[in-house]
Amino acid sequence: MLRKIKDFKYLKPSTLSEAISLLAQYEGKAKILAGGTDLLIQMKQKKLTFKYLIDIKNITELDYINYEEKEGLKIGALITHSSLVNSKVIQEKYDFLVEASLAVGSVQTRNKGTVAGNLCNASPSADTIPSLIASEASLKLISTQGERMIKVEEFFLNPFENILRETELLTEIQVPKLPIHSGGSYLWLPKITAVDETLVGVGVLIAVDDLIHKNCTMARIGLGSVAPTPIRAKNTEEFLKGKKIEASTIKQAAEIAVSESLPRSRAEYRREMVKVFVKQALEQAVNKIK
Amino acid sequence: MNCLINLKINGESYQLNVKPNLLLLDLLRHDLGLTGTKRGCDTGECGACTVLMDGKPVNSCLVLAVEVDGKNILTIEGLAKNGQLHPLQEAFIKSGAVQCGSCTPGMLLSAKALLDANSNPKEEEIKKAMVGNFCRCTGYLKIVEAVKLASRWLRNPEEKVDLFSTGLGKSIIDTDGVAKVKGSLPFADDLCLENMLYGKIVWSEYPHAEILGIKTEFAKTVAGVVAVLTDKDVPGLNGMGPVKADQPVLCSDRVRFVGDMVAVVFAETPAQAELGAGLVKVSYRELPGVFSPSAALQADAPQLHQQGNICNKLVHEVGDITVGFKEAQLIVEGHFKTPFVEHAYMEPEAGVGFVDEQGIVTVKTPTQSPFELRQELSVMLGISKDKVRVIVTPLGGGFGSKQDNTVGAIIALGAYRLGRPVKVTLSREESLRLSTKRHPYEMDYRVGFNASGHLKAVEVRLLSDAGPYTSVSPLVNGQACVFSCGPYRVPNLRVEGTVVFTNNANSGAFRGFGINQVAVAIESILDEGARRLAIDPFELRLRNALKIGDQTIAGEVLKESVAIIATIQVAKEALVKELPTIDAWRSTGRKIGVGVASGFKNVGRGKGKIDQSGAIFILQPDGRILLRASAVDMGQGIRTALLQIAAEVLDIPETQMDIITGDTSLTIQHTCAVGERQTLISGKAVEVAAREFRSRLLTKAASLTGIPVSDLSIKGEVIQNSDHHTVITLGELAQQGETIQVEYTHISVQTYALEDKEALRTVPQKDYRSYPAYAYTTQVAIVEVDPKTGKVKVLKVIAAHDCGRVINPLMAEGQVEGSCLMGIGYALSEGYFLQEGRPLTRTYKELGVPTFMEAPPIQVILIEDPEPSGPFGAKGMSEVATVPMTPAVLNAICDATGVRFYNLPVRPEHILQALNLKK
Repeated sequence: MLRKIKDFKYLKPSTLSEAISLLAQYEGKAKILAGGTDLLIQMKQKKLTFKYLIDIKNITELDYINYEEKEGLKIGALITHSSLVNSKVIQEKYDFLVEASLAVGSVQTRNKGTVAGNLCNASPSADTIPSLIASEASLKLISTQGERMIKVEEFFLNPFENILRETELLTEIQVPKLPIHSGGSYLWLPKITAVDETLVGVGVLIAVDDLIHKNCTMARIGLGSVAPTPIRAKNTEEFLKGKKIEASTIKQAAEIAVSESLPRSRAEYRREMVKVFVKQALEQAVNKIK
Repeated sequence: MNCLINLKINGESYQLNVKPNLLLLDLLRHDLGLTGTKRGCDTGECGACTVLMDGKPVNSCLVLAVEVDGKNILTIEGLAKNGQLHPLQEAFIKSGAVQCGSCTPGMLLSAKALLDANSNPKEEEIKKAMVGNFCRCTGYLKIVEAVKLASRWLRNPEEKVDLFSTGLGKSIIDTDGVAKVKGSLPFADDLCLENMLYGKIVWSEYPHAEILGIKTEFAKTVAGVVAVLTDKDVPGLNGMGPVKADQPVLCSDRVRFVGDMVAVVFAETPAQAELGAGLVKVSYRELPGVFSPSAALQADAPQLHQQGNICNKLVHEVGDITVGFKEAQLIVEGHFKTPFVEHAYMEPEAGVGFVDEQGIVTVKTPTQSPFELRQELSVMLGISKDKVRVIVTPLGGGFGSKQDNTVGAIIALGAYRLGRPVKVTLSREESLRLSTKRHPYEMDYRVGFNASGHLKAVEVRLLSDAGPYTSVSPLVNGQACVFSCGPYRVPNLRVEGTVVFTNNANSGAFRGFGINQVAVAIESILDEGARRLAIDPFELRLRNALKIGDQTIAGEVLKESVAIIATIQVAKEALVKELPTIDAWRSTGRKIGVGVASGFKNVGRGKGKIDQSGAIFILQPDGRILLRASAVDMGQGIRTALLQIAAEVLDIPETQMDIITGDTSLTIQHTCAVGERQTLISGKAVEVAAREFRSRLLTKAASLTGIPVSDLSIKGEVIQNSDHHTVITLGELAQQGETIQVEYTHISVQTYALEDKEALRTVPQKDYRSYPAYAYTTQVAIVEVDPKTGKVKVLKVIAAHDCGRVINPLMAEGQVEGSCLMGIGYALSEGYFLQEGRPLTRTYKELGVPTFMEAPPIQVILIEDPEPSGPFGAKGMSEVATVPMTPAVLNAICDATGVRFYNLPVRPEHILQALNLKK
């Protein structure tokens, strides 16, 4: 790795429309800078070639966390992990998103890195993604051609590759209002030490009919770092739906989740951990249901 | 195109015109000279470059300067206000939270942000807030204590205590502590010389290849590139190495690993040098490589050197193992395997060089071996060693790896050839390529016990990986053999140690020097023996432990300061106190394991090598004392310890003395800073010189005042008579006549190498020594294994250490704590891995170095069994502390799971797999 970053032209738009015009103007030759915690490493490694760096941090219209009872949660592209973690409304309504952002790197990384950036980097092990998959989040992608919404789990193509067009900007993460009697959880295991990349990450959201019968009305499970991209464990979700949530159901669900994961390195262990963590995450999520 | 930015740094407003690709870290360090912010990993992982941006910690290596437009930046230089240290800075010094000081500025800023947000954080909150800051020296415990202390002081300023104290055996603060917490201690990369050129290395592209040609002309066309140096520019011997100069400074015809240097480009700016280096075209013919020790020994293996692939081989026998094994009631065998491990000091290799007005080639670099480096540089340049000067810059950690010549050679070459000051700084990725690693070992042990657990016979086969060059491999091999059976009596032994060349990473010295590996084996085997014989593992060790009058397997009869038994007993007593807690944990179904291991290690270089140090005392005109001591402070505090020894003899407080170390022109020639030798040998030199200096001061005072010497004594800044009245101040004494100066060289006892069979036969037993002294330790690990994930958490460590005499308890504890955490990392997480000679481990985080979250509480118990040859009975103790920790953890895992592990590191999947197999 070389230390010096190649020269580029630095652009700092202050409005969204300006930013997307720049993207259109320099199609294929520009990169977006938000937190930069992944981007700068790639720039140092000279893995990227671009002429223009568009820093979106001046676009105040992208710096927000909004919650409405009807529409749910909206997270602007400039929200860092730290600001998500400190958001009262997220702590209260979506605590599993807080758990996920707290799993990202260290304080230093969370202070600078953004949630949207974590998505755009498209690392299979990105911590925020499984929980966003579980919460049925969708992403707003905007270009001068217009905007489109896409489900989080459809955003990823390959390791470090997403469907974002070169002219598009991810501007907002939308998380629907959570169903009644639901609970979510994110659990992860680092590769080696506490600050290491995630070896297995599990985000779940589960809802039941009521607290007495505990019949599952909805379950969503996102798995990180066990396939080339973060994935949704659809068979497991399907299995849980309609079932009474009890120990045996959770145990079976965890085993089904294993069959849905496709890890490559340390495969046997990762699969084993999918079982352990899906089980634990479901248990935790169920315990949170009010 | 440059951008205009406005920002505040440490309260001061700046308007700057910056390039978009400039990093905040480089803006601070290079453009503004704020070098307190340290560069550690380049990838936002280590935390050394942490600064506060609008009050929040960020890694400045991952921030562009253009991004901080409008921001408020706080660097370490802004933490102290109006010359007054911040309570955090004071608490860090007072608590011993600072060793080498290169992680300290980042640590302090993370702590500052935490305390600003939470004035009274709990331990867990401190660890979580600071987990992005790595420290390789302290083991983190004292840092947590320091943050707690600062939090108390901030809330209750009246509780603050004075930083300074004095006295041998007291926890006085690091003499460089204030500079370290201010970020003002100048490390090599912090130095900037006028008209300086920057060097960038062209590295080997292959693990093994023939060089067909080197084309430098394209590189030379780059604006700012002044020269491209290759092997042809080396005037003298194109080789370096502490034992054998077989590592080329710049390769001419062949490369043997990816850390080989082929050329070095010097340019006006670092960027130009890097651009130039990218344009040096080297054509290679790739050669088949050797990627494991067993492959190296194959008959048809490619040969790395003319001598073949065997770097060193040793066989040593005691008694007759056939007889011994016949007497054994139990034979335990094991095949053990350990990986390469990186030292992972926070400061990558760096240095500056220039030719001074006298024509002396001067290199300032963090080396453990100033005199050895001077010798190598003079041979390389073909000039006399009086024409070379090495000045040691503060080491941002060394742990053995900075013993070898790293960038010293190319710096000297650049300065000598180009006639301009030069600087070379390695990136972390380059440092990982070049720097030496702990030797990987494959070990076959066969050990016979009788029914009462006494060792009857030991058979050992060691095969280790030297990597491409000799470095200190023969010495490590010898040492591994000498210590292959631990601190125990072994009547019958055969040990065979072989170290071979491969195209992997270069192996060298690393805290423990070959003993860590063999300790893993012998201490695991002893544990297994105890288990099978149903003997308490402490008891089994006590039965075999060396005592005064016993002979080591190398043939030395131990004469004094043999405290192994005391360490075992004390560790056991401490464990007994923990048993109720352990039982309570176990009763809730938790998988808790307890493991013990002992160890001993040489103090001093030994093995027949001359081991010397010196000390020069000078009374300066202002009455202060200058001590020019032959030592290198690796960050663990030898400068402070030497001042304490001097203060004890002279009765002058440490604060009234100045110390210079690590300068080949200003100190007496000495052996490199290795083998935990400096307290013993440099300390002794200082003690003896101080006694003579004291007597000279008093004699002169007597002659000036007419009072007999016997009635005079020194007290601080003055000389007193028997009524404790001042008769003359040291300042006044200094003004009279010739400067009072004392020089003394201390040469340690004669020792003999294991392979010197003649010595073993002819030297009288009372004089036969392998090493100047030994340090002993016993450690206990209490671990918990998570049966679901296989993860191991070390819950507590007990570490009983014999130091001879404790010079500074705080620093001694700090060294033990740091060493223990290294030992834990070796057991559970660390490793430097390659595939076909190419590193798979490429960044700091991937090394598996333990973080705050992996650091357990460590109960350090210091035992004082005086070593007669040491200053006030003191001897070294930092390295030995790494030795038993690793097997103690392994034994604890075995206790918790019933499964013994033979390969390091023990990863969760290995444990899980074993547990599943057991089911």
